[in-house]
Amino acid sequence: MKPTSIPRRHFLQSTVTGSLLFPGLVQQLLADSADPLAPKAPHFTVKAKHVIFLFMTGGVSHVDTFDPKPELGKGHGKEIKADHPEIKGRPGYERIYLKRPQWEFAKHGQCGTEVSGLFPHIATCVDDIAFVRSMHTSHSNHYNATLGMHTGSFAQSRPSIGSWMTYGLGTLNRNLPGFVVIAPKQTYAGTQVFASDFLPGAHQGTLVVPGAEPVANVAPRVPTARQQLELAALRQMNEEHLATREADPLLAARLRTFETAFGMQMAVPDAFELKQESDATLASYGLQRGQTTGFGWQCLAARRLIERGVRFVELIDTGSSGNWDAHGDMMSHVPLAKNVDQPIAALLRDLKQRGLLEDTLVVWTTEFGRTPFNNTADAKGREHHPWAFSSWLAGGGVKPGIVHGATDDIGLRAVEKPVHAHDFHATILHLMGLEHEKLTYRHAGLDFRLTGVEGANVVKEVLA
Amino acid sequence: MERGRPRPQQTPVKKQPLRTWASALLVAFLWTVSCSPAAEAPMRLTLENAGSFWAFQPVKSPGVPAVKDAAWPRSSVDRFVLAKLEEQGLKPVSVADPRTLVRRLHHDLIGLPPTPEEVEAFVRACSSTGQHRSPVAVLVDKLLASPHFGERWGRHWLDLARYAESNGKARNMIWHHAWRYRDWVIGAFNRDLTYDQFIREQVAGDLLPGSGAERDARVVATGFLALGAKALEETKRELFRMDVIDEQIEVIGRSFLGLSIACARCHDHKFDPVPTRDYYALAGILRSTQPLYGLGPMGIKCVNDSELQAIGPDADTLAPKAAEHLKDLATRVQERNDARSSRYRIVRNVADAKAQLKKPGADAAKLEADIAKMDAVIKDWDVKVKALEATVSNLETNFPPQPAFAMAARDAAKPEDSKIHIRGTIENLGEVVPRGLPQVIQVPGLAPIAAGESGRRQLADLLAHPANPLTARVAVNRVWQHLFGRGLVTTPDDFGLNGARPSHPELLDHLAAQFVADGWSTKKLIRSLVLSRAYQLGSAVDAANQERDPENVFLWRKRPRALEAEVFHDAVLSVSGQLDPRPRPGSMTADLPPFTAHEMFSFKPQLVETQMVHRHRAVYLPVVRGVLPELLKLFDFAEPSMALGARDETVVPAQASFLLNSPWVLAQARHLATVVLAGASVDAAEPLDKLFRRTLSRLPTPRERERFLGYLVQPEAQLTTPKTLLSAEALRLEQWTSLAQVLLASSEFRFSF
Repeated sequence: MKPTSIPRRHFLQSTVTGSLLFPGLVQQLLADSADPLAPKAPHFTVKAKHVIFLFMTGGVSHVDTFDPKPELGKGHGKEIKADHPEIKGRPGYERIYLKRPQWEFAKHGQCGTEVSGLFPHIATCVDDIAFVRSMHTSHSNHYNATLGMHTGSFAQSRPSIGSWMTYGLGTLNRNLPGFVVIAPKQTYAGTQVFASDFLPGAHQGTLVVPGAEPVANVAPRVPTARQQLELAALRQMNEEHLATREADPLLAARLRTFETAFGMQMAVPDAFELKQESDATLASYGLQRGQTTGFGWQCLAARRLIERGVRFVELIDTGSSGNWDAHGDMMSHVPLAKNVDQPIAALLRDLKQRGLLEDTLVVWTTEFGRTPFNNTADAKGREHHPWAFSSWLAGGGVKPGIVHGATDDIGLRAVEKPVHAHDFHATILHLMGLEHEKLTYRHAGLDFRLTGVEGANVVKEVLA
Repeated sequence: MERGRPRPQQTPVKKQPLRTWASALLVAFLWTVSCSPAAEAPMRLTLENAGSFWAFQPVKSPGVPAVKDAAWPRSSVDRFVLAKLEEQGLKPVSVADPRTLVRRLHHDLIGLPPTPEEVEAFVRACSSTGQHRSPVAVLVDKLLASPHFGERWGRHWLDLARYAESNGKARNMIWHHAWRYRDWVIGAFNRDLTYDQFIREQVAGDLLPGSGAERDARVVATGFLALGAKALEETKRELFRMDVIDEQIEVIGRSFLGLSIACARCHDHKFDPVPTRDYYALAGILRSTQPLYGLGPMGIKCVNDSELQAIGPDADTLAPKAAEHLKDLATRVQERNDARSSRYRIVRNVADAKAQLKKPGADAAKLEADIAKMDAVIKDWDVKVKALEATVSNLETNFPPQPAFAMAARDAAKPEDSKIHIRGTIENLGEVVPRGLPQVIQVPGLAPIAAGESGRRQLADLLAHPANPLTARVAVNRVWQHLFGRGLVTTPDDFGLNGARPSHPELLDHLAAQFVADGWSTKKLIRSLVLSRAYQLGSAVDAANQERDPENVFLWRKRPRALEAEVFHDAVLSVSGQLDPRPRPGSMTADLPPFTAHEMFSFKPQLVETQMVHRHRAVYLPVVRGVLPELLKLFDFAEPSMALGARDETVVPAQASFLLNSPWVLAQARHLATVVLAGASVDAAEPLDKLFRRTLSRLPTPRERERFLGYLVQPEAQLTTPKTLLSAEALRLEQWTSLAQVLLASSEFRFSF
């Protein structure tokens, strides 16, 4: 078995049937032992097969980005009362005043959806996007709200939405992880945002840190020929050992991991190698040739992973410092928006051009919004605001060019068709063909689900 | 894998070669159903009906059952096991061979593999006859007396104590002094501190009589109450307090009682007999207790700072000055940061004014005057900032002599009952509940909680009481689980209504009663279990048994297990000759500049290198929340977020990638190759034997010998990058490194059989 003679397509398909390393009986055992990542049929037929989940860390101000509030501008400086979790009992916040949006909004596209000047590129894509302007969530701390937006739980760690997705649907390429998180830094909830928690470990997100070696330990450090020898020797040893043990399923499963690991050694670099991308593509994402970091790189890598069958890709823009948490000055939104605006627009267009947007659901969200008020009329920043914020959906099965729900005149409360984080999750699952009440896992005697126990509703209006 | 499994949604599909497995799954499913809560117990346990539920009934001393095969049992444990096997129509497999057994005992009792010499000595002893004592008993006693015993068994407890050296959550502060608790736990297991005292010292060690070093150790033990993850940045002090208490209640409940109490924070427990009143009675005890974990982040207003406990002979003389200095530093850092931002604000205003100046029609004269004024103010600030920076740096470098510090707990100056928090919120308070203990556990002879004390002493007494129906059962079940691979109750942290029922209820009670009768000695318990025949069974699969009992619920064989992360780490270092078996003094976190507050991100860069050079046992690797050492994280180390009695057992490709490509594994393979080649002749047979003996405690089979010797004649180009020209010696090392890596990655090395 010469490594050079292996046809490339073997790596691009699920290896449950096409093993490189294990012939005969062991091969049969591998195929028969339950593979937690084997593709599974959804509960009902849908268009979307993949998710790209764009998470903006720190709390993006809705009234300065996707939720135009002219009345807030007019009321600038007016004192209001609010029983708000961030100000209750907080010294210096006994009185609060409205604070005007800092960026102009304009209508865009055929649909005429208004977007602020912070996102000139995304503004050109509004005809493909369904905005939800009535989001709300259950906590005003970064940690809890970030955890909630990823796991549906605002206190204890629970499986991440990406883990639920591979648990429900499996994955389409066993040479790549089913759930990939590309993040230069960790969010406020650390690794919990992509943890499988009580779901089997195979559903844990694989962290990719942009850079020269995006996935740990996939680069062989010895010649491939040597590794082939080692794997063959290892296989024989393990196989003989397995034969004496009457095929313990755990040991069989372990054999398979070497096969996948070996497959990943070629599939992973291939997925992250941008050489084949044209100059025009790179430029559209704002990338220099050879660049291996930046949000543009994350977006392009996400497209390449989706193309190769990865089920769920999450992109995190910044970590738990230097993010959208604009207490001090709203102007800090400018560089952060600039960082993601062009790459996200490029991703949407690129997916569309390649026909991938049809079966890829793109989700954009943050953990909460920012207050339309502050404790002085001329305060430069805004505080955490769980009562209202904006998120959006695009692609597979999403009704394009619409706005769903609304906040009140000043962006304080989500008043029209409010969408809680749990409803948002239920909708994402629905778009992927999964009923959120049916996708359960028995743990500690209870049936758990992503959307928690309080009940959640699919937002039917955003479905195409 | 035991902790949760998908509810079977359909009958498993039968495939040809799988017939036995499929029906096996079905049996497992039916067994699960028959043991599921709905089948036998009420839907909800209350204080009224709790007595009907097994776990709340007093521990019985059941008679040892009769068995048909009287020759099989070696002990009463064996009789309980065999009675069940016979009842189920299962036939136990034969006892493991000495080579397997000596590895198993080493892995299980001290977490290190036996050396080739130890293996051969044991095998020899087993084959010679007429000895005074059984070689197994001799070996077991030697291992129980080893200082490595505490490093192995202490780590099991550290999973339950959610031991970590940082705060976790958004402001992830490094804890320089957490390691003292770790060392206390290791020491407690080594000296076989009785389990009841082990509980008392962790919950109320500071309140127990004692002085000097003994008292200090007990104070360190109370670090148990301070080690939880906390949202230090929380601005609402009251919410923070209640969250900390909630975490403490949960960890106490799960670890000692196998009971999840924290859901009673918002409402009466939906399943177990813990009303909200009982939760707030306990909360009162913990409100009257101060956890001591140190300062929050410097330079922001943190309302949740706490002290640390000074210990040691000079604590009283040194502590006040040290604390004052630290407080001063924190204040100055805050002042410095404020000054910096004040200065920066004016700098920005100057920039604004200069921009205005450029606009047509600007009032130039006024703006220029403003700018001049502001420039002057900036100069003032420059002076202030510089002075404060100097003060801070002076304080940071000139610390007064420091006492030793520990994380700990102590009684608050004034005990305080808790009000019921309606739906768990701090805004909506109900009636006051007097400090007290969970009513569902009634034991005789507890002193009432006096007005001037927290009640922690009484809580400790309740938890450690021989009549507490949960404590001993939960404890022996944990020990059983670590030795047999799964507990008699498979949900070790949940003995409540939602937990599993014991597979061998009489055996569990027998062990619990014996444990208490033996004076709560963990070592005696372990000794009695590992000397049983049931423990010493081989791990071979028997087809008939496998079909009837695929999960091995009834213990017809030894269940093979992957080595835990630490055991694997230590095994690799041990066979590669790199292990430094001495305890590592302190921890890497303690080596950070001691007087400054550190957050995780300032520590993280150092960690990667640490793993490459760390030569002590893995229990001494730093456990910083969010940045666990790679190997620990990959191989199912217990996330230190909550008490965890059973780790995951995952088998994922990232583990295989690690074994194939991580620089650490490669480096260890090279060390191992160097060891087996040392002093070897050119004949390859000798190093090959040595390699197998070191890693797998056996010689290669003829087939393996043939294959691996053939491996060594591979062309040079295959073993190293083509451009490198290697000397014969270097080439040989490469070849053997390659072989060594194969053995380190093999299932036989990775698993305990």
